[in-house]
Amino acid sequence: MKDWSIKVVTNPAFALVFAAVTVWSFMVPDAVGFQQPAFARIFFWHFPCPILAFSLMTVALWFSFKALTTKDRTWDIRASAAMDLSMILVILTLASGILFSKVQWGAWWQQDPRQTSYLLVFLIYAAYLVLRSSIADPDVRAKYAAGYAIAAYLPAQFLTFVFPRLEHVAKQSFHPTTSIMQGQIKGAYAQVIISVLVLVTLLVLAIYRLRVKAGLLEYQLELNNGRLEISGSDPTRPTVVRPVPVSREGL
Amino acid sequence: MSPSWSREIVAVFRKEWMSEVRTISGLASTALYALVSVLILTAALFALKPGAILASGLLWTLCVLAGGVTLPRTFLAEEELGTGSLLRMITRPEAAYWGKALFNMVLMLVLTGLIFGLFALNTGIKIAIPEAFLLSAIFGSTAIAGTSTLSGALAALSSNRATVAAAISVPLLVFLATLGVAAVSYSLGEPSKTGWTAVGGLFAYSVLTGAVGPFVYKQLWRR
Repeated sequence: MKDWSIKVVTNPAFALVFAAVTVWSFMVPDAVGFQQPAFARIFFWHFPCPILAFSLMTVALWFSFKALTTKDRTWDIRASAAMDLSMILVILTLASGILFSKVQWGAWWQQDPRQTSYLLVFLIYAAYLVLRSSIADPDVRAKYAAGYAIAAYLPAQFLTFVFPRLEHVAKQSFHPTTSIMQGQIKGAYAQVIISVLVLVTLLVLAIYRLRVKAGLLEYQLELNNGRLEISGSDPTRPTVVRPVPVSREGL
Repeated sequence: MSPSWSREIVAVFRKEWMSEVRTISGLASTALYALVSVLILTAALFALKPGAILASGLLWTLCVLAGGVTLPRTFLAEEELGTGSLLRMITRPEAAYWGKALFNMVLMLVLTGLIFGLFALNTGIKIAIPEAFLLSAIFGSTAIAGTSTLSGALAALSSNRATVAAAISVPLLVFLATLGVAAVSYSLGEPSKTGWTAVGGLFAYSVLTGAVGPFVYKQLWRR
């Protein structure tokens, strides 16, 4: 049976709603206070990315804790899927931020403290991938990656939420930090933001579930593969015939 | 803490200390690093007297790079020399972690003292709030030592240990540098309402690494 989130996003109606919201996002009145108000619409797509990246990293923290304490590889598969997807969202946040920076502030990279701190968040994720790729044994990899995910959580969240609001940083940054809380985003603009957030959340959730399913199936295959290797000596099991690479020499 | 706990921690610390005393490689390279890096900086700055934010940024850059590259060695060396398994047999994971973390803290305190002292002497910066400066150096060192020790433990079993240890410790330490710059620049006279909060943040993070580190290491301990 298909997962509900996968059912939703594979439904043609979802694509129609997505397209409708995208069109709607171009129809709402321009926001005030921007150099090029029309291009400020990238905010609709920029905004959900760090929120979902943060949520997925929190999910990864919990799964990593479970992986570390239970030594069950399935938790690592979930944690790794969450971290991978979270990293993609961090890249999307950076990319949309860079575009916004070029259009509104005149340069691709402004050395803005907010941009720099988020680039550091990206490096934290990159280090997770480096660590995973440098350990060959999957069980050892699961443990060590889980340990790193736990250790990296606080620094990543600090750089995302606390650092940009530090007094000496906030006064140097162009990046708005309190637009939503001060009620500057309202009316149709706010409605589009919420709609995009809901749609992107559903999409990310579906991709995450698919990624976890694929990971669990790979793991199952790995386990079954081990059994198949020894099944030849067990008369109660059916004999398994495997394809064997044959050299052309001698034919 | 039961006496056996403290004995085990002290034993691991002494083991690290003895192997350090035998070669003096860590202390010598630490002192050399501090001297060379501060001299390069002061030569580059020449007659320019750095402001509070620039000076604190430079100081923390030196400390973070030194901590991220040199401190994870305590765990990496165990795997390289093949003594990791022996350590597993004779100590508890928390004791091994704490012993190594304590040794790293001492090394980092020496390094920070040298870097901060030499930099202050060479550039003639004025310390406006000495207590904030001192506490930033102490808590900063313990936080760097805690993070680097954990990074070393995490990278110990990977291929290219030293590179991976640096790759995972530096991003985690840069976060500390942001707090450290806020705390040290305040101590050097930069007006700020959050100066003491940043000092508190360094203290909180060093406590946190002290609590999380042994827990994580205990889970990684058994092969």
